[in-house]
Amino acid sequence: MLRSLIVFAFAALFATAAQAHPHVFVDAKEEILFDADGKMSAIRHIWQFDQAFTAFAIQGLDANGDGKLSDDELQPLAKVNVESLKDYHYFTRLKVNGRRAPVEAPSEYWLDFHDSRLTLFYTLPLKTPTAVGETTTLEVFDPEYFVAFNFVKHHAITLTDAPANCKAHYAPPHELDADIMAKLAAIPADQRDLPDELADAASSLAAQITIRCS
Amino acid sequence: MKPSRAFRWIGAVAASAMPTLAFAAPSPFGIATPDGGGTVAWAGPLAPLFQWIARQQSVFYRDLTDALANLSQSGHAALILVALSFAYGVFHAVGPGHGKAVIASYLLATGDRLKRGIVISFASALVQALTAILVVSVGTLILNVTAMTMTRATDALEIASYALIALCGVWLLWMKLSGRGQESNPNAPVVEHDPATCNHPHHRLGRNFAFAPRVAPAGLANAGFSATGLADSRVSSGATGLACDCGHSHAPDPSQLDRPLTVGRAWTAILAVGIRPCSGAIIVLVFAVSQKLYWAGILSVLLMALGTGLTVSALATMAVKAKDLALRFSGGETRTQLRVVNGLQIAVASGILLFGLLMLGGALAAG
Repeated sequence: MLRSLIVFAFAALFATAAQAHPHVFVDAKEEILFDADGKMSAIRHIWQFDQAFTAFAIQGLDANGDGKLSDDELQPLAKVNVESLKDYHYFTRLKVNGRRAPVEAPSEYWLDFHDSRLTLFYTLPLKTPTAVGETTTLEVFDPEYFVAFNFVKHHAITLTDAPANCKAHYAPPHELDADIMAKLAAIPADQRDLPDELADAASSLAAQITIRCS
Repeated sequence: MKPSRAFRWIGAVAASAMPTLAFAAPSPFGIATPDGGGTVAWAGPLAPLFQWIARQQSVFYRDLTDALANLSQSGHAALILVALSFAYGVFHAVGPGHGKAVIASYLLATGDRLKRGIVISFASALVQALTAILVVSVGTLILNVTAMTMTRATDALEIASYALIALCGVWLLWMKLSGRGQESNPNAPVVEHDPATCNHPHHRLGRNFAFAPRVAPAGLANAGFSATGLADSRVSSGATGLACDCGHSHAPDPSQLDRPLTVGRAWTAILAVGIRPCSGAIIVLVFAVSQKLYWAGILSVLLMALGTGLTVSALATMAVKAKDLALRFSGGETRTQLRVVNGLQIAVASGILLFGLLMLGGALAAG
């Protein structure tokens, strides 16, 4: 029976595991917009893509062949970007006192092409304006590592129109913990919703943005 | 029922039948689909190793695209590009993925031997590089299509790949269950081929196959594989009738044992694994074209394939060796053991078929 055991072990070995292949590298800037009541009303993402992914993304988009990418030429791609991101919850988790604040489909979005790199700008309105709570965190993270997010130094988070007593703090990602990494590695590359316990584990790997109003 | 609805239905059934199996993900940005659909969770002792590999991949990939960007300025960059592409290919393939699962299962189900496993591994990596080069060359240089169109082409190739996997499973099962190449009687190790009664399915499929009365079982290259210390020619002769094409593996012909037909015999498995290009290769190629470095891009992707082939060969070698070892330690072949091997091969073939159908259903439902 040793034979069958080994054969099965091999079949299991080969048939398992998800593998992360980061192919999109994003330099991100985040912005939280506040309404007149001092509540958070929207999240604005400014994501600059790496040169290689940019080259792929803009392939064939210069329809009139003038060597430039006009807003008209870029807008269909921006639309595809934000519509596809919906399935991934925009890689965005805004949590107020441990509860995720739901967002709506982006109200405005556009792409900008500059210095061989594309930047995607889009705004996610919160379903309901939400006051900053005891613990308020914003995570922008792809737990499957197809997209690697990196935050722009000193510009990771901006609060716009926030009450004067509110401040944001950016903490770089924790060092990779082997145990958590192993658990995360167990998530199929194409599963979009993390189980709760892993979502928490994953969150310690994401760069953490915390918002506090004293 | 409209076809799209039927697909959704198939997808739903497939999804409920196997909840641990993840289907091909759509792309988060609508362009460039993540690779490796159809993987299931890994949670073994090797998990940290795979994590480390994933990080190396990320580093190599970044360095590789940087090297490509610097190529026009620096002569050294070409060398660096070559080295990085190869290294990326090696690491890219180390983690388990469904392509490797198919190759390993194929080798287990057919009883194919080491040499062929290695040929299949390199051939599928090469095919994968060539499909990437083809998609990008036609997409950028000839048609000048958008990334969205190229992504749709890749997704279509992915569906074709699942269909081929299912086809491969059907073929393996057919060969097993129809008794072709099956050693129901260990005392009758080989079945004589009778052209008069040959009703091999590929003939019905219209494949033009001119055969001699005694066509070599390509898998019997194994007979020469005495290093295993096994008198397992019967096992292999039985099993090697199971390539994903009509193997005509009925009687050994020593003169043809090492003929280079090995690739031709396994074309379904090779295509199934290689027909879907990797997103990384496509992005690198399009990037190269945009930098007016088309040939550097092709060189890079071919070296990636070489690295990938090397890793997959190593894994295929492990699969074949493990089976040989197991056979040796269990003391050769008794009737029972042959039956066990037979049963396992049927199980593996069914697994390939089921996997192909599930992924196909899932991909069609998602698309």
